[in-house]
Amino acid sequence: MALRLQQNQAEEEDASQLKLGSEFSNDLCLSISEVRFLLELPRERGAPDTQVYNKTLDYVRTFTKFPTQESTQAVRALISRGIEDLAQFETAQIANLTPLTADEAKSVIPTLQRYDDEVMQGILDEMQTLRKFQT
Amino acid sequence: MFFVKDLHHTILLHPSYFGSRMHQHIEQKLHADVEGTCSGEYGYIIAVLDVIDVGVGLVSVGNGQAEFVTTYRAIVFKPFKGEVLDSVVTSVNKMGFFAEVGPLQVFVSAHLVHPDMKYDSAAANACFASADQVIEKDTHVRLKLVGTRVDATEIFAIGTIKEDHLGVID
Repeated sequence: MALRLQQNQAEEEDASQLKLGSEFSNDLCLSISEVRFLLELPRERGAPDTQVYNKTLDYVRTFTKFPTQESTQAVRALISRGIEDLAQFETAQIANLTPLTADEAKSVIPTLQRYDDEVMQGILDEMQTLRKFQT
Repeated sequence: MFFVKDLHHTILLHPSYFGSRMHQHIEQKLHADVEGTCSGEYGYIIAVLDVIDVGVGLVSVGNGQAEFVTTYRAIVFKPFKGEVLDSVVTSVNKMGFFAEVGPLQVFVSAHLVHPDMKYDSAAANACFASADQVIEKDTHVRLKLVGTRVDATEIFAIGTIKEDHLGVID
């Protein structure tokens, strides 16, 4: 019985169809740049010294696409302003993967297929400009 | 994917800690208990951002310990099947290669690597190589998760790079 429940849950979750399970459907998704910003905030008690924390910090430092706080915020605003009804998950994935073309975006984030190529491309071009000129 | 999530954790407090510094003690214990842990439901709990509520302590009958149901906000990392992620290769062998996405280990089987890329054991570092691309230790690779398996303390994932727009990134 327990095993069957577990299997059902595993089948339900599929990011390519935007099925994140009941636990995560309404939570705020963070892009890698946002995670880096949050982890690097000064803390009263100092950073937790766990393997999970240190590996995550290394990871987000390696793959941050928008290293300043302004550009991190700007890219989130840009994406959600440009496309209506975008899921949290999709917003974060666009900011993380920074695809160059609408075709690439739809291939790595399949749920974006419901949007028009031209609209997508406009946003992606703006995002590239933002990346190029961030200080 | 990284999430900000509100979670609960139950803390049992020994009577010797009851007193003026009790709340600090509870918060300290919460950080120590949950940070760095992993569960199938919530994924990895990376860091506690803030403690929202420590709740009221209920003294349990028999041993005098107080039970606090705390509510806190944390950054969690949970991988999903079908998600595309950037990763760093940690080791390569003839069966495939291992890559890391933060705390998560991903294995990409040689069958799920593009057929142009052949395993090369003669090179100084074991690698998968094609005419213009090399996957060896520390290469950055964009991969897609095809499945996850949850252990008590770890999540393990299987990935593929045999699709469009996946593979070595610079």
